[in-house]
Amino acid sequence: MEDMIATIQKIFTLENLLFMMEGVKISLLVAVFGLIIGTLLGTLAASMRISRSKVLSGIGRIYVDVIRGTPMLLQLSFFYLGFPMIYQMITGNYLSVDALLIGILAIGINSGAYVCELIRGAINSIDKGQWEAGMSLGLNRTQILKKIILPQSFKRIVPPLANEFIVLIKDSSLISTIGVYDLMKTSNILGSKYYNYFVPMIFAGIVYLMLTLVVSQITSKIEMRMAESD
Amino acid sequence: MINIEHICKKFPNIVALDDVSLHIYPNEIICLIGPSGSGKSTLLRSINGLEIGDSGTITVNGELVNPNDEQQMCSIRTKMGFVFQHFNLFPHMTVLENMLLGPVEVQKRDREEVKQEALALLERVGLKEKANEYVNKLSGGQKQRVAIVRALCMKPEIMLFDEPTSALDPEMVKEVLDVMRELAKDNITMVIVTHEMNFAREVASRIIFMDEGKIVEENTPEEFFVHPQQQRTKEFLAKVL
Repeated sequence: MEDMIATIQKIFTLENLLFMMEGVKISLLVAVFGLIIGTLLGTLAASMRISRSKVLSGIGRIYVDVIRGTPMLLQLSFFYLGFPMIYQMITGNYLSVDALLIGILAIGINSGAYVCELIRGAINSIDKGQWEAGMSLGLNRTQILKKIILPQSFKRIVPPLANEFIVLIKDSSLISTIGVYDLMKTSNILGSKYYNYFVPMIFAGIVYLMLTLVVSQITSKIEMRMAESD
Repeated sequence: MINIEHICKKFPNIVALDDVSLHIYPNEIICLIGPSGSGKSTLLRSINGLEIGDSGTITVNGELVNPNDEQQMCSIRTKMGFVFQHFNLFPHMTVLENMLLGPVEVQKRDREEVKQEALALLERVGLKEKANEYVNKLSGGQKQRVAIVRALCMKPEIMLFDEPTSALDPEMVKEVLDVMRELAKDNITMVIVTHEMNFAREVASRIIFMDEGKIVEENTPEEFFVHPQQQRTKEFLAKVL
């Protein structure tokens, strides 16, 4: 027990805490930008999937199927290692990629597939009668989507989108595998430095838990607000 | 005004319309009656292009109803109001916004001008004080009255009603039928799918009785209810009257 306390004191120096806080910042950065890219891509993919063009909806579908059907870790490695190789094969030039940047991009592309499906789900959950009422007033498809369907879908998108953010906070830890100093990586480094993985891992776990709890608290507040306006 | 020629429509388990032809003239008030599943709602929805027939044609004022031609459909639909059984009001909008959407977005009319007309219409149906309420706050009968004036706001030449009182509590049926009675006096062409026999008898200029996707009998209300010709009609009337 005394050993344990001594180890904790040894590990939790100001310097090490600041080092891990830098990791927290990176983790949040990846989750936030991942969600932003994911939302943009997801919106684009969802509009392709619900479009009447077979080609566009086909592309949207392939994107969703490929991304959701393969491991995120594989996608991350592909973008970090495989993509530069392909680039080199085609152009003959060496491409040096920034791990953080490529990590955010890969996570955003991954998230986009899930966001696409939740947007599509929200749109499809709107009663068919709303489409028919819009049609009976002479509105075209675009006007119905813009004025009737999307405003009603929005409310149903917010809660699962917040859930997606929670998933991203946790899954951002995968970028530690391509050498980005996020919360996971920094705790790993401290672990190997002091030959004690237990303490830094518990600490990282608590920080992840706090982050996700805060987000889910905020989400339920927002949900309650929105329920009031129903 | 509306020409329906040999329209057929099959759903997976049922033949909804079986070679139906019908001509509707200006200012007529047609009541479509018949048992559930007889195809009357499908026929009404086909007029507005909400259902696509497998064969046959429908023209409205000479324009072909073709759901694959969006532009053409929009133009036909602005001339026809449609009232649904389940109202289908837009829950994220107020009563007034529901009414303004079509005229402002589709007909590109002046918002203020439409607003005055909408308020006048709401006053006529006794709902002026509800103009700025969200529609979920209204009762069923109030919702259906709003749905009717929302359609009227487009200044349609034809009004189509798909069982407008079937989803209402019994005590709310009258307030909706009263609005439709008023409307019937305005020389507007109306096609009404209904189970309200007394109402049909009172307002219709022609009754169409359908069964199993076919028009069985059509006649003036007096003849239809007093001297039904077909055996199937007699059976039906014996049960509902």
